[in-house]
Amino acid sequence: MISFYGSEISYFQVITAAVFVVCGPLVGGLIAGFDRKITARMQGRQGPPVLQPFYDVLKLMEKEPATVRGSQDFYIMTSLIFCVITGVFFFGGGNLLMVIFTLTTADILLVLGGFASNSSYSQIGAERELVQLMSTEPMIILLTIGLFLAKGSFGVAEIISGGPVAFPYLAGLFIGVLYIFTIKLRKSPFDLSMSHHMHQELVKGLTTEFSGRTLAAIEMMHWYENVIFLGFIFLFFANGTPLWWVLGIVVCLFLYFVEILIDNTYARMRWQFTLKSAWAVTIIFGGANLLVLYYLHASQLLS
Amino acid sequence: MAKRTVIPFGPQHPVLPEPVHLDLVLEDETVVEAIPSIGYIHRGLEKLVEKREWPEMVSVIERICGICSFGHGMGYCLSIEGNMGIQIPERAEYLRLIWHELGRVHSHLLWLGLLADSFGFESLYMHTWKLRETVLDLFERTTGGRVIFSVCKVGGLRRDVDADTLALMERKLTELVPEIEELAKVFIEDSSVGSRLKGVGVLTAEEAAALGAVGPVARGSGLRMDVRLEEKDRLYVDLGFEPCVETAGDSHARCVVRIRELFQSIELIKAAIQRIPDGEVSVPVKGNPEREYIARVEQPRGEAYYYSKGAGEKFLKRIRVRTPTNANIPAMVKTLAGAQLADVPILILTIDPCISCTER
Amino acid sequence: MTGQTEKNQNITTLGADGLLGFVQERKIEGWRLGVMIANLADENVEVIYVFEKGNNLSNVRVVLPAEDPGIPSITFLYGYAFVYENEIHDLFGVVFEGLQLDFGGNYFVTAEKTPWNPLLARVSPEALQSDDEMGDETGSDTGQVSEKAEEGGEG
Repeated sequence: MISFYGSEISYFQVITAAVFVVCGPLVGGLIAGFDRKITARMQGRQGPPVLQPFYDVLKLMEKEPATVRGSQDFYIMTSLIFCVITGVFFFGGGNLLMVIFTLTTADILLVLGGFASNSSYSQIGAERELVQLMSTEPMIILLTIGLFLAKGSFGVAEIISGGPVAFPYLAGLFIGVLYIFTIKLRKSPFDLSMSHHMHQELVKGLTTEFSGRTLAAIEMMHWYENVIFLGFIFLFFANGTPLWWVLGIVVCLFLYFVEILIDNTYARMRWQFTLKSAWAVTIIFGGANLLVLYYLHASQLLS
Repeated sequence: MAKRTVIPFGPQHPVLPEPVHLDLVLEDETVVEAIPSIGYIHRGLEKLVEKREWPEMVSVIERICGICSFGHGMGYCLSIEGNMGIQIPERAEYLRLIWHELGRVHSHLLWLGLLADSFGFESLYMHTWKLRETVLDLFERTTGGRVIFSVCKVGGLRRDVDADTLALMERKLTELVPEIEELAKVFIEDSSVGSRLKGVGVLTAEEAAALGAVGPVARGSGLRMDVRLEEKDRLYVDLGFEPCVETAGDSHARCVVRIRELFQSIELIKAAIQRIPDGEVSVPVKGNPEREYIARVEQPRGEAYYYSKGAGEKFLKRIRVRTPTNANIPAMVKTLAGAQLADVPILILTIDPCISCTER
Repeated sequence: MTGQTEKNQNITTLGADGLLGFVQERKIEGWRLGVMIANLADENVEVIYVFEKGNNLSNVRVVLPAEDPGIPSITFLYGYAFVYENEIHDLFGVVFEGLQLDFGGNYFVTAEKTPWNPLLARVSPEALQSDDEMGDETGSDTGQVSEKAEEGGEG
C-alpha cells in the first residue's frame, strides 16, 4: 500500500492504471478499426484494414508540424494529458467525482484549442462541442450519484469489487447513459462538433485547423475517451465475480456495436435537438431512477 | 444582436460537389445573408463555337456537364435540327427519350445520395450510389460510355440498340424498382431524415414563380411546370406523362418530387421500350444552319434553353445554353437567408446545383 | 422530340426605349423570363429576351451599338434577371442601368475584359476604364468581407 494524496492505494491499482496508459490507445484504436470495418460493411463497402487507425496516427506523427497558433497545440497536448489522468484515476480505482472533473477539464481544453485556432469553422465546432458537453454532463453527474446510492461509494475500486450488481437498480440511468453515449462517442446523429464522416457543413468542425502531431493527439485522446466511456458502462455490471466481469465486457462490446448501427441508420441532428433531447432523457430516466433509489433507501431496502 | 461571423463557404468545400462560393453571414448559427459568387469553372465552351464546326459541337456541348450530358447533347441537336428543319426518324426519337430518362434516373439517384450525405446519413448515401451503378452499367452497355455518351448527332443517333439489349434494359430497370422503393421509404418516411428535411427551406408557389425557379424546385412548390408537356412533344404525352407536383415547397417536397420522377422515368422507359418502332436511327443532313432557333429540354434539374444562330457556314455564329441551375440560383439564395447553418448543405443541394452547367 | 412550334421562333426587334414597356406587358400577363441571350452581330450587340408561358415563347430583340451598349435593366420587374444581366455585362460589356444585385464585373471572372465584344475594348477606352473601376470597387468589397471574416475569427 502506498499513500497518495491522503488515500491508500494498492500496488494492484498502480498496475491497472499503468496498463490503461499503455493499453488504452491500443484497445481504443482496435475498437476504432473494427468500427470502421463494420461501418463499411453496413454501407456495402470493403472497408479499410482493422489496423488502419494506427497507420493513420503513425503517419500523422511523421508529418511536418503546421499550426496557425502555437497555443492551440499547447491546449490539445494538455487536453490529452488530462484525458490520460482521467483514465489513470478511473482504472486506478480512484474517485468517480475526480474522474468526471478531469474528463470535463480535458474537454474544455479541447474546446479552447478549437477557439484558439482562429478559423470560423473551428470556432463554430468549438461552440457545438460546448453544447455537447452541456447535454452530457448532467447525465454523468446523475450517474455518479446513482452509483453512490446503489453501491455506497464514489470509489471505482469499491464499486467494481463488491456489492450488488448495479444494473437492476440503475436501469433508468443506464438508458440515459446510452443516450449520451452516442454524443460522447461523436457518432451520428450527434456528431455535431467534429464528424468522422466527410461532407459536414463545418468541414471537420473543431479539428479543421489541426494537423500532424496535434491531430494525432486528438485521435489518441478520442481512443482514450472511448475506453473510459466503455468503462463507465462496465460499472453497471461489475460486482467482483468473474461471471459479471465477462458479462460486463460483452455488454460493452455489444453496445458499441449498437452505436455503430445507430450511426448508420440516422441522419445528423441539429444541436438544438441534441440539447433538448439529452436533457429530456436525463430528467425523465435519470431523475425517475434517482427518485426510486431514494425511496429504496428511505424504506431501507438498499443499505 | 449577436456577433456576426462570415463563413467562407466554398469554392472548395466538402459539401459542394462543384465550385461555387458563398459568403455566409452568420449570427450564431443562423444565416443572415448569403452572397453567392461564381465563375470558378468557366471553360468558355460556348466560345468554342468559333473553332469547331457545328457537327462537332455536339461533343463540346455534351461536355458541359458530366451528369446530364445526354440531355445537353440532345438539346443542342434539337436546336440545330429545328434550325435546319430536319425531322429525325421515330426510332431515334424513342431512343433519345429512353436515354434522356435514363439520364434522369442516374442524375436523381446521384442527387439523392448527395442529399443523404449532406444530412450526415453516410450509409444511405453509399447504398443510393450503389443503385446508380446499375444505371451507369446500362449506359455503358447501350452507348459505350458511362459519363460522356456521344450517341446524339444532328439528324438522329450514331448507334442503334438491338432488341435484346432493350429487353435487358427493361429487365434491369424492373429489378431496380423494388430496390429504389426500399431507399425511397427511408427518404420519405424515416423520422430522423424527416426532421432534417420537413419545413426546411420553404418556397411558396408565389415565391418560386417570382424567383424564376424551374424543374423539381418549382414542382416541389406546386408549380405544374415541365417542358415535357410541350404541345409538339407527343411522345411524352402519348406515354401518359404527367409532371410530379408536390405542394409543400420544402426540402422534403423537392426530395419527394425527385423520387417520384425516378419511378416515373423508369415507367416511361419501359413504356417506350414496348412501343419503339423499327427503322433507321438517323437521316442524312445536308447544308448548314442559317437562322436562329430556340429549343427547350427538360433536364433532370429543370428546363434548359439551347439557342443556336447559324449564318449558312460551317461555323455557327452563336450557341447559348441556359441551364436549370442558372435559373435556380436566386431561389437558393432566398432559401438560405434565415436558415440554420446545419441546414445550409441541404438547402444548397435541394436545388441540385450544377455549377459547371451554369458557367459552361 | 422537344420540338418548338414555328411561332415560338419569331423574334421582334425593338428599340432600347421600347423595351421596358414590352417587358412590363409580359410581366402583367404573367409570362416568365426564360433566358436573355446576347450576340455580337456586325457592329452591334443584340440582346434577346425570351419570355415563356406554358408552350408559348415570346421573344424580343434589342439592338445596341457595340462600342457603347447601354440598356435599362429589367431586374425591377424580374428580379432573377440579375444572373443574365451580370453575365452579359461581363462578357459583352453591356451596361444595364438600374441593375439590382450588381456583381460589378465579377460574375464571370475572365482573363480579359468583355472577351466577346472586342469592339468595345478597341473603340471605346473610357468604357473599358469604367469597367476596370467597377472591378476595383468589387475588389475592395471582397476585401471588406475577408476583413469581417478575420474580425469574427479574432473574437
